[in-house]
Amino acid sequence: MHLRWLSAGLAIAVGLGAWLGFAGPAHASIGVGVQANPVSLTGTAHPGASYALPSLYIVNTGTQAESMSVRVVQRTGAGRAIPGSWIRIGSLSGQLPPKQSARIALELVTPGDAEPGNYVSDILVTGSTAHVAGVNFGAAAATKLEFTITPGPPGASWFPAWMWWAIGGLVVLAAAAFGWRRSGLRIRVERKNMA
Amino acid sequence: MGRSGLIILVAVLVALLGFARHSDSPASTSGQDPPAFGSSGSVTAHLKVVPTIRSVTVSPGSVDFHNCTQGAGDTASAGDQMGYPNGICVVGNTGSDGHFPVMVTYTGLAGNVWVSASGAAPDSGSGGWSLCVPTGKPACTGARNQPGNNQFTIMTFAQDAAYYQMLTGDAKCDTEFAASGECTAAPDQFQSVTGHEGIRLIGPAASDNNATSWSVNITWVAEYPH
Repeated sequence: MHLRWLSAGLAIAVGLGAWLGFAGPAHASIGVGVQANPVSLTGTAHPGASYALPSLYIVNTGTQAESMSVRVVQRTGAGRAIPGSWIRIGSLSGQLPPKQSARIALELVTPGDAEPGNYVSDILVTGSTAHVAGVNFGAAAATKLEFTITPGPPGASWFPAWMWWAIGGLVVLAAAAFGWRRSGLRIRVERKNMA
Repeated sequence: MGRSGLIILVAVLVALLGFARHSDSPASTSGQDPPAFGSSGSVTAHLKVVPTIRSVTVSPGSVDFHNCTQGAGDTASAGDQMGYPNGICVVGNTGSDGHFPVMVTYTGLAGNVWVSASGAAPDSGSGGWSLCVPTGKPACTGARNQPGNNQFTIMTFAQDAAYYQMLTGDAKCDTEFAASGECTAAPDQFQSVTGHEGIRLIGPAASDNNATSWSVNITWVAEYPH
């Protein structure tokens, strides 16, 4: 009698395990999310320089770990297309677990002969899992990447660097003089008659 | 204590009284109110904020083709095995008993859903099948605009769309996603939009690779509105 119950329990457990093992991958989902805000460079860029772009927020919205690939893709519309070689994309260490997010470092490296103008392209994040025979589904999400290049050497400014130091010094001196006058302190200089 | 001291004492007492009344007020539902004269309590306030991402999730992660038809002679389709020439296999089915097993869910700020496909890769050997379209590029080279040798077409269908959408290597607006026949996704705040789709594949006239197991990738993309 006990043996019969044990056999039935074992059969149910094996059946359940087999069903879960079979149904698990079939019902798994794959998903990718990316920040809605565009990745924009603060300020303008110049030819022949490198700039740190804001990092890219990505999230795995699926139910299984995914390998994430990030690349720059051209889009139609206003603005110059961004060559993929101008953007250095940080790598993600390993797969991104389900429901987890990460930030990908981005760097803009402009060549010396970069044309001035507004540059716009997409950053496309694609999630993938191990391939099996049949139809494999992928998920991807894109956000805008934009920056402006102005002519001139990197770090060029309307004023030379020493001018900023001079202006700063004058401001400090003026503040000190103003504070001295407001404090009411007076220095009286007397000449002692030695005779 | 002088007159001014008395005035200050009265002012402090009035302020304390007012503070105590304010703490008892039901409108005070901030997360951490200070204790008032020996009693304490807290209220947890839940806040929802607008989404700041766009995402697409596809379920299941992979499927197998079924109900294969067409082909001829010894190489006619049989069950789940596609035949030559130009066997047809589906995932789901159209018609009155329509079944659309691929669930594409868009979440986040309003945007578009795009879709693309890859060439077919064999599980052994070299040489795959390339995507083609009956009209347009890359053109199918077989008879009556059917896929030629080592070519195939793949398309999606949905309940609300009366036609198939041909997929290519370049991502295109997924016109099967929305009931309106568009690819726009405009979920209400904090919600998602889900499209249910099926897949249909027409195989090559002939294949140089004799592999019996092949794989194809279909990728959906969440895009900002263009």
